[in-house]
Amino acid sequence: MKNNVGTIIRKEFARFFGDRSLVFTSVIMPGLLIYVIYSLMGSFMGNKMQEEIAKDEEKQTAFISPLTDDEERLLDSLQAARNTAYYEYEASIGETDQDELGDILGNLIPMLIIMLLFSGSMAVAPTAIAGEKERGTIATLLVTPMKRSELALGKIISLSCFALLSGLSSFLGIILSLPKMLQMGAEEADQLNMALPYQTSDFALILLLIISTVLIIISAISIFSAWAKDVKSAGTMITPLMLFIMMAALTPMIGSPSSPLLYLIPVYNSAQCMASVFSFKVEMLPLIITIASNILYTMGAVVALAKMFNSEKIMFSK
Amino acid sequence: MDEILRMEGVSKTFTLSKKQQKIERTHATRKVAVGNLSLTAYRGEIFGLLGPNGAGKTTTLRMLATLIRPNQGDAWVDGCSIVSQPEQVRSKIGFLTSELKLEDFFTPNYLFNFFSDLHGVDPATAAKRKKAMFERFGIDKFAEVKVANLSTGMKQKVSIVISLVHNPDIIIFDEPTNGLDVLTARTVTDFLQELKAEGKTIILSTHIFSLVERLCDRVGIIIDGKLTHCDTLEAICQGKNLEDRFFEIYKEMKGDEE
Repeated sequence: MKNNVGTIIRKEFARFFGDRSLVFTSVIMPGLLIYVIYSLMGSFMGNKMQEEIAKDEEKQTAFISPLTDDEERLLDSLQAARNTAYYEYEASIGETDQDELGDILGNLIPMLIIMLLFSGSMAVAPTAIAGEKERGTIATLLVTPMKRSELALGKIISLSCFALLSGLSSFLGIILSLPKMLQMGAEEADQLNMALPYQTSDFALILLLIISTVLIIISAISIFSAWAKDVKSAGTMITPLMLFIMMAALTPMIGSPSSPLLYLIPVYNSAQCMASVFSFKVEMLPLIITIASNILYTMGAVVALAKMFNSEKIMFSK
Repeated sequence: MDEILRMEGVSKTFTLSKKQQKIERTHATRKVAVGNLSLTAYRGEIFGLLGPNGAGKTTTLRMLATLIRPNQGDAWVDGCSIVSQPEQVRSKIGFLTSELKLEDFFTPNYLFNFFSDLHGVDPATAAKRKKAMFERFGIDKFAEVKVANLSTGMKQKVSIVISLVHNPDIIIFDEPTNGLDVLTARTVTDFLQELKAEGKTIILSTHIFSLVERLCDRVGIIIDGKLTHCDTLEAICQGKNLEDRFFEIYKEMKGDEE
């Protein structure tokens, strides 16, 4: 069994990496586009802001007379008192700068990661399954002695790798364009990286969550693609799935689940768990439920896909 | 004679979509593609399936290749059931039909290795077989050219070779010379005779009467999903040429219905 799965994976890799245009459109272009667009947006917004500041300064110098030394000292002491009061308030509610940063990242990054994984999956899965059906090449595979489950597993593993690569490209595009987007210099960017208070174990958890999430997304798209007659109709059929994934990815902004059972909902569970890692509120039970259920769902999808490959109605309907 | 393939009471019914009902000009929601078909093929013979379009030839061959399942009955390929042992059946047959396509992106060389792997052929045997088959069909000249850039004849040669990577004993070819120029068609028919000489069993579906007369030991005639005649070429022809005899049989069958 392993041999045939390996043969399918090798063939999918040869197909993917042998096609320069496919590698460019699904791996290089997403990251490159994000980098270029975000950088341009950053510099455009930065220029606008600088123009506004310059205008404000002009107005201030024109209408406000310079402060005396006493006035400046008074202003500084007021500012210091305000800061002290703010930090005391934060300490009283037990929130630190780190928590605040974690909450912000926990709301934004899971959504970003899931959407990038979904777009990466969409770039590769419909072509590899509905496309093969449309071109008639999948029937050639179906007359070999290989089990349908081997074909399904081989497809899901290889497509997950491509989707991860595509997602990684987009992620790199965002990270590299972030300093330009925020109008930071190299030094400030270094400071931002230094300020991110995550450990290696946090990144390992995120990686595990990403892998289990990409498996479940690829599985779902593969099932829709196997059902569809061609790549075009696969795209149409996947639209409701896309809406569900977008909604699930946004849920960390609304709040965390009230019951551990809710972690059985695919994609929603990943978004919530990623948010908990970024906001330093990781709990082991939800994390275990999420990863285990995602793997179980993927196994179920492999079985379902194998059954679909075995169904003449699905594979040969015209 | 040594029996290698047996079909017993095999039937296949398809549900017609509204679009298909329009094309077929019928209100029936189901169509019997193959009805209660039984036949036997023997080791080392070429068995020809003859019939008009839509008679059920391709459906019969697709059931033998385990691409579709019969609604009733069963068939045994070298002792393995197409219903309960489809993977074993697929390892024993080489199947070629126009609906099986090769991926345009790959070269014949890559595809031969890939399908050899899937059939579990060891690399040394696969390499020897590839050399012999590629030389036999002249594929060695375009072994590293992507399928997308090959002509129809070249693609058909590659398809034939790919379907036989595992050196099967039973070869099922559906219209193997369709769309080929005379030279390529001749290469294919010569090759079928070579396979027969090697002791392979060939099940061949075709519209071409001359091909059946030249190649086949026994012939089955399918009309409207039913095997109306199944015998040696001589017994079916009754001294006439096959084409004339086929039209006689066809008129008899259709006349009976009317």
